Amino acid sequence: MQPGAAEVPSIELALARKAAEGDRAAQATIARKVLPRVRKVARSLASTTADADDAAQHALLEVLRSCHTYRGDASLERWAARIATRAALRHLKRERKRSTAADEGIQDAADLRPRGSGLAEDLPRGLQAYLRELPEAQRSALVLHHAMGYSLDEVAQLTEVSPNTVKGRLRLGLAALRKLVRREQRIGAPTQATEAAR
Amino acid sequence: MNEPLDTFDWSSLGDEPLPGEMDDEALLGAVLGQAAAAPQAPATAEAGPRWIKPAVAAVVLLAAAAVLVVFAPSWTEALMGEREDGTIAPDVEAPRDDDGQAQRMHAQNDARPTKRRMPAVEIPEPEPEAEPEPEAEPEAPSPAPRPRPARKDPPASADQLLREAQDAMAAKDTKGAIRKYGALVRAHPSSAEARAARVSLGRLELKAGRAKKALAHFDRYLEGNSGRLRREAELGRIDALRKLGRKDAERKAIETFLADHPSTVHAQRLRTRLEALQ
Repeated sequence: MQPGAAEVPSIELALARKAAEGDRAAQATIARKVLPRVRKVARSLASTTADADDAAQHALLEVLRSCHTYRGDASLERWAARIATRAALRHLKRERKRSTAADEGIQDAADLRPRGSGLAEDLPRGLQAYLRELPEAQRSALVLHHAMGYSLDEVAQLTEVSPNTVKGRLRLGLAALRKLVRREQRIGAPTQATEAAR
Repeated sequence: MNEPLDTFDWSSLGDEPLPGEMDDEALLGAVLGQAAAAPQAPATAEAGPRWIKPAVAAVVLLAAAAVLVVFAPSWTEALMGEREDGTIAPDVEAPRDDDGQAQRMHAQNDARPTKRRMPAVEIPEPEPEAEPEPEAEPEAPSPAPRPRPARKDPPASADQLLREAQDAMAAKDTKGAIRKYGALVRAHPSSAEARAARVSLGRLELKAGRAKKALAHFDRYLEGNSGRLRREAELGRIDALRKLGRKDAERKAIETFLADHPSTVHAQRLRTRLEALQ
């Protein structure tokens, strides 16, 4: 451990231990501290608002339940993000199995996505809107690797597949994303035309 | 051509709140409430080696197997004998619970008269309600082959209208969004885009205080009996029923929702509301 780095984790370690012992105030402090990361994870991986809310709830609960496993090796937020990611993926997988609908996912999801998120200046839609058009497995791999910064091995662990499968999903996902973006650049976005006419 | 993917800001993915998502304080309240109610984290989990639990389980299984091997022949014999006599039939039925269980089941059946997930009886009847005239019609008319005066432009596609509505939403232009979503459901009533737009329209109408219109949109979406926005539509429907003061229908809708999604983040709030309704 680097010099000076021990101080912050020791405070967080003490907090996590208190939370694990059932200290409500410590639990509330941790929940509040990691909430932005947990919500980011849930929003990135879920395809609807209700899924994102429920995934965030399950992920946050899992973080609080896992406080006894925190050893202070990484920051509390980073540690929590990993637990939250695993919990959110598990929750979303369960929900997908329960869901009876596979017929209208793209439009539904696109309809609920904020347009500005990850939006590039020359592109008509936000990154999330494009990602929602990809198959679930490719989307998760892209989000975990490119947006959350997990290595191939880590993505493989989190999604319970082999690193080679992750590589394949990333390759196919990027190709599909590239195709979608280029198609819209070629055709031009209807919304841009509309705006220009105003 | 520049590589388009390079222009995306991957790191900001998930930073923006989603439309209609639960606010942070409510989410924290729900989670901390559950954490307090749940049994304490397994502090003893690290007290002993991890192999103890599997080892104990293996010993128990071995003991059970040994008992089975020793006594199984005599049990089988006894069972067969009784069967041949015809006096005692082996109890193959699941054990019945007490009367309380049966009553609970009856009560649940009463509350949910059909096996459909959302009871059809709750489709709002046309009540007179003073509401501003919305630009979007919940009951989208099928495109009538009525001759029209010369059309200047070809009709916008469902995708185009959806994007325009989304743009209006992003620009916080609620009226514009309602207009575009309305145009979408009128022009392409059977498209997937129009169906999804019902949920957005329901939310917007609810926000604008037009609960009856909102309810009609949510009901139209739920008529399909499937869809990934089902939970959003069900939650919106509950809110619309509350605003309309239709307590009985609201109670039934909450009961159905909680039965389908017992661990949802909204459960605590809905249970509290249910208690207030009962």
